[in-house]
Amino acid sequence: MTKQIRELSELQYGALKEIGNIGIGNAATSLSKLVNTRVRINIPNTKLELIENIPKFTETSDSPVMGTFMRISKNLEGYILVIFSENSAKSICQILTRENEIELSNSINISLMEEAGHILAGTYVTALSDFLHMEISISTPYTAYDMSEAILNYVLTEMSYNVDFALLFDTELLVEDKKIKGTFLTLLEPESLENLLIKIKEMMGF
Amino acid sequence: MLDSNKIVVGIADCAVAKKPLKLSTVGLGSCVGITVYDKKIHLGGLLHIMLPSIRQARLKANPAKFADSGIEYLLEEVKKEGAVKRRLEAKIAGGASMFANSSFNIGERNIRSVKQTFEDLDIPIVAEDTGKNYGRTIIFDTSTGTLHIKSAFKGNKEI
Repeated sequence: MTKQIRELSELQYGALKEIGNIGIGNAATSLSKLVNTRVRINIPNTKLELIENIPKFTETSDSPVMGTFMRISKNLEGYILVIFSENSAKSICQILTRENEIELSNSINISLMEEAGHILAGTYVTALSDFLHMEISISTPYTAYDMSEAILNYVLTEMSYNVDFALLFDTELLVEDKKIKGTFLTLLEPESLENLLIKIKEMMGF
Repeated sequence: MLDSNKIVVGIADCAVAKKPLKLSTVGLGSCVGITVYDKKIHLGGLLHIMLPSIRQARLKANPAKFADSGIEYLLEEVKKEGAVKRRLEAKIAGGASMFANSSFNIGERNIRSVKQTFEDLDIPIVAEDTGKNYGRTIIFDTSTGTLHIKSAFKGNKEI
C-alpha cells in the first residue's frame, strides 16, 4: 500500500480550489439554465481531514434540507453531496413546476430535487473530467429530506467504511433574486487525491 | 440556542457529565448514539459511534469511532468518574437507513454490534429508538436519565 497523504501545502490547496472552481462554475451554469437567472458561486472551504472532523468544517445543523448524494468512481473515488435548504428547494420546485404551493415531502418534488442534484453534479463531474483528462463516472442519485447533519453523517459513515481521511470541497451556489442557496460538498478518497495531485503537477509542469 | 448546561458530542466522540448537565449529539444518521447512566450518582456518558467494529479498522487511533471499542472506552470513562458497572443502564438511538434506494445497511450493522457488545458486557439496554429512515438529534439529561429524541418530521419523543 502506498503511503497516504495526510497534509497538503498551501500551493496544493490553491490548485485544488481552482479545480473545484472549474467544476462548480459549470454546475452554476446548468443551475442558471434550469432557473433561468444569474447564479453566483462561492468556495469557502477546501480541507483534507480525518472523516470524523469534517462536520466541523461544514455549515450543517439539525434543520431540514433536501440532500442528494452520488458516488463518483473510476479515476476519482468519492462522493458528491448537493444540499438545498427548505426555502431554496421550494424556490427551485416553484420555478420548475410553476406551482405556488410546494409540499417538499411530496415524492414528485423529492424526485424533482433529485434530478436537479443529479444534473448539477453531472455537469460538475464532466467539467472536472474534461479539464483533468480523467475518467470519472457518477452513480444514480439518492435523496433524503431530513436534517443536514444527519445526511452528511450518513455519507461520511458510508465513506469511512473504506477510508479514514477525505478531501472536502465546500462550495456554494447563490441565486440572489430567487433566494436560492445550494451547498455542494465533494468528498474524495485519499488515493484519488493522490492521483489528482499527480495530475495537477503534470499540468502545471513542476 | 446556546445552552451552557449542554455538552455537544461530535461524530466518533464521547463525553461524560453529572447532574445538572445535558449531553447532546446532533444529526445521527446511520451512526448510533449510546448513553449509559448511573442513577445513584446521576452520572451519564454519551458516545457517538460510526462503524460496527474496530477489528476491521485500518486506523485504530480513535476507539470512540467504533461500537465495540467505543462502548468499552465509554465504560472506562464513566468508571473513572465513579460509576459502578452493575448500576449502569444503557439507551440507544439512531442507526437509520435514510436513503430508500441505497443498499448500504450500515445502520443496521451498527445497531447489531452495539447490542452484542452490551450483551457481552452484561449491561441492560433499557430503551431504544433505532432504525427506520430518518435522522435524529438526541439530548441526554443526566439529572433524570431521560433521553430526548428530536427529528425533522417524525416528531419528538422521550425514552
